[in-house]
Amino acid sequence: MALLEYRQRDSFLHLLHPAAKGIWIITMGVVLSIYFDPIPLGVILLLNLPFYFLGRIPWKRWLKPLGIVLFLGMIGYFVVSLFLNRPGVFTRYPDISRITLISIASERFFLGSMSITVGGIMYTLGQTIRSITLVFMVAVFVYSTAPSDLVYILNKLHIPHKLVFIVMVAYRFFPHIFHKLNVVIAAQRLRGWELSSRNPIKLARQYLPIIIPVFTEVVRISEYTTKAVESRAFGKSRFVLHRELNWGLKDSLFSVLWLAIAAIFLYLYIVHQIGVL
Amino acid sequence: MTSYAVELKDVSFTYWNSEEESLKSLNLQIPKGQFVVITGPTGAGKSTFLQLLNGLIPHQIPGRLKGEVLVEGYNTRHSSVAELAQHVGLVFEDPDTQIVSLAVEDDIAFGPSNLGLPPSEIRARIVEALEKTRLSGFEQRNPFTLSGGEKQSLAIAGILAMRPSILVLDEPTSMLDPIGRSRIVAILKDLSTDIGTTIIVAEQNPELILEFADRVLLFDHGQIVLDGTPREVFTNIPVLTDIGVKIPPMVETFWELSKLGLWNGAYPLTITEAAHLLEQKIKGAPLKMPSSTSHQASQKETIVDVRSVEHVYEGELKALRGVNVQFQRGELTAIIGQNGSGKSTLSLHLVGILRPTNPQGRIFVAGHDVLNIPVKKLMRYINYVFQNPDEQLFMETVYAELEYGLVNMDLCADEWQPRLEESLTLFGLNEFANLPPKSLRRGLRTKVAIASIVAMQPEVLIIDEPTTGLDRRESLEILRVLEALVNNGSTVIIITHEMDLVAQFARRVIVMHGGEILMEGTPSEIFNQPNELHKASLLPPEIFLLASRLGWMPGNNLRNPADLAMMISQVI
Repeated sequence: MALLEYRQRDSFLHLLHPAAKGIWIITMGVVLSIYFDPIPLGVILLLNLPFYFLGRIPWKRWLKPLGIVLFLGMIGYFVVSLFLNRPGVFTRYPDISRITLISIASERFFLGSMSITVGGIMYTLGQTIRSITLVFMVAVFVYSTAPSDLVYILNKLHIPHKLVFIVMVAYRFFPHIFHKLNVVIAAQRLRGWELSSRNPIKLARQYLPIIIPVFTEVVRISEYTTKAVESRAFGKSRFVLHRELNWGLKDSLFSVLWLAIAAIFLYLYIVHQIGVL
Repeated sequence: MTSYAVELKDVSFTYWNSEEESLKSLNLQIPKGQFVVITGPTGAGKSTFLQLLNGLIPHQIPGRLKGEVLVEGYNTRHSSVAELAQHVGLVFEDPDTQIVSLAVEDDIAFGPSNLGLPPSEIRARIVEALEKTRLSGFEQRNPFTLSGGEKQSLAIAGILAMRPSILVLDEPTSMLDPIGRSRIVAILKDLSTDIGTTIIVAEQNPELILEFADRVLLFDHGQIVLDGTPREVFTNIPVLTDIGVKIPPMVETFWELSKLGLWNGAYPLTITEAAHLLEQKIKGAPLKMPSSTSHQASQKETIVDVRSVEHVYEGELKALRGVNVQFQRGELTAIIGQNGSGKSTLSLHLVGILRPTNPQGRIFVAGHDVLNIPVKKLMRYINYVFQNPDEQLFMETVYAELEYGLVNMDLCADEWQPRLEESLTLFGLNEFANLPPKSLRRGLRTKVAIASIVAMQPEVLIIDEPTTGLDRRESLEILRVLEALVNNGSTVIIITHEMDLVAQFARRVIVMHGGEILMEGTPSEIFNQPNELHKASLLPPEIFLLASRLGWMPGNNLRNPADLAMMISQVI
């Protein structure tokens, strides 16, 4: 539950303007979306690595769940890579799909031929590095950015306040409902509730003792929250932000750094085809 | 300009889904600047009345409204809730549902921001509201990380920032622990000195705020049955008894003295008043400790044995610190302590929902090692009722709700049906057996939740806050059923903040603080040590505080005001 949850600290990343961190995420997101070659992707990961640590995130708690997600992702990429053994799959290095290390199934296999190739391994490595870079970047962003600052940015972007309010309430009540879910599961376990069927319809019915009380709580929260916000003049006038987030020199330098890095990688990709497999 | 903050002219209200009027022909004037306490049993119409004042009724809550509600001269029927929000601020019972922002200062700013005030004005109001609610320094905190009392303070701050001339609070302390209650009471006390602000507070247990209230309105069945000063209302014992409202303990003690023919004067409301009267009465008489029965530690069988249990949440918070404690068979034990002291964490270990995070931690229930037995089997020996009945109830009828757990125990109908019938009868639920639990009022839903577990006949029953949200009569009904279960050989453990109920019903008390057992003993052994209790931010019941003021150390014969009156009768 604590995973990806904001914690107040005074680290370098925590003190950055959320928009500066947004520039970091967007610029690197664009580069990562077009790069497949594990070598430049590895360079990008190395460039980002110091900033993961500057957020002072609790690695011990994060590594296990993130590791599981990335491991499962890697398996998925590897399975896909088994089919990347035909000519023409790779454009910059066309031969790597032909260097077969282990042949698993022939052309007659109903899914087509499957083999472990150098190209497939390069693809798996690239996708894994890309995922690590992106997942850690988003995780560090969420961990180091106060939800209230995110809401502030959404307001600044002139997104209608009612939409921003929905985001804010969802963010506010998610931990509460998650806690309720755990309580309801515990309460029903103490009355003998357990999942005992493999039939999906029966299984769905077995979830009713959990779903109904949680749903009741969600309805109760929405009813009372509606009353509470109405009582605080919600929607009476244009919503006024009471504070400004200051954009400082470090925010400018951080943004310029990542814009420059992104520009270099885009140049290398467009002009020299670097990043393509 | 009207001189009344609130004026009701022949007001009645019926909810859209009900035949019966929730408020009946109310006529009332509340002058500006008055501090008014609204009290009465659950379902008396208190919350309905409060929601009339800021226009939630009729604009947000559908129903049939008759008569006129004027707030600062504005007819609520013709003014929107948002318009009225600048005149009336309403704080609800549950702070969790009224805090919508992700930082304390943003939540305080929410109302003024909706009013479109200039940022500098909003910032000034934030500072002012933070100071008034003692939240300065909490500006950037996530509300989810605040304690219950701090959250309710934040809810009040959010309303104060709108600078309403009328502040309305609907049972603001009912969901709080003692320290949270003290915090809110202190804030209300400060606010009561604000000239010009009208404060209207609904409270089930109003003795905490009586000393600074100007007026009390006692509601019952949608009507105002008493309207007067706190002394006028809370000394009208026939009416209070008839309605089932809690009589302030000092009043009840002197009422008991008057029944013994030892008092015929005015009843005191506070401990100071009571002590003063008694000191005058017993002047010259030997101020000796009345005779009392001392506690004889009976040798009972240990049914729950907790050894060296520690629990650490998510690698951060140490919720239990090497707890060693035993519970005896056939006793009603109360676990008391502030929120976060480890009461619920310990109890959830006993039923196998949580496990010790240290290898040495062991728990035995009726001789069974909790760590080596699945919850589904353990529930036959020990079970737990959560604080909010709605976290458990989901079936279409009360009967089916009780049946659910029994069927899951793999009992045949011949075995479970008598248990179910017995439990329905024990809790007086027979007439509601075919009704949906969700349609019942809170007190009955709590009974259904407890009855569904009692029907499973565990040897040990743990109940978390069995009286939250209930009025005095309902609370006593539930405690008396639990007492009956104990008399029949069951073991009951309750987690509660209601010290007077602990004194009256518990045979043993365990005080938790900071994840440790601070004290354990009989109620008198615990409540005779106010300084130790203070470490856990707890206060003894008023009857013990009065006894202490008289220099007495009462024994186990002091359980309620009648006992105290009997003790006093021995020296005057």
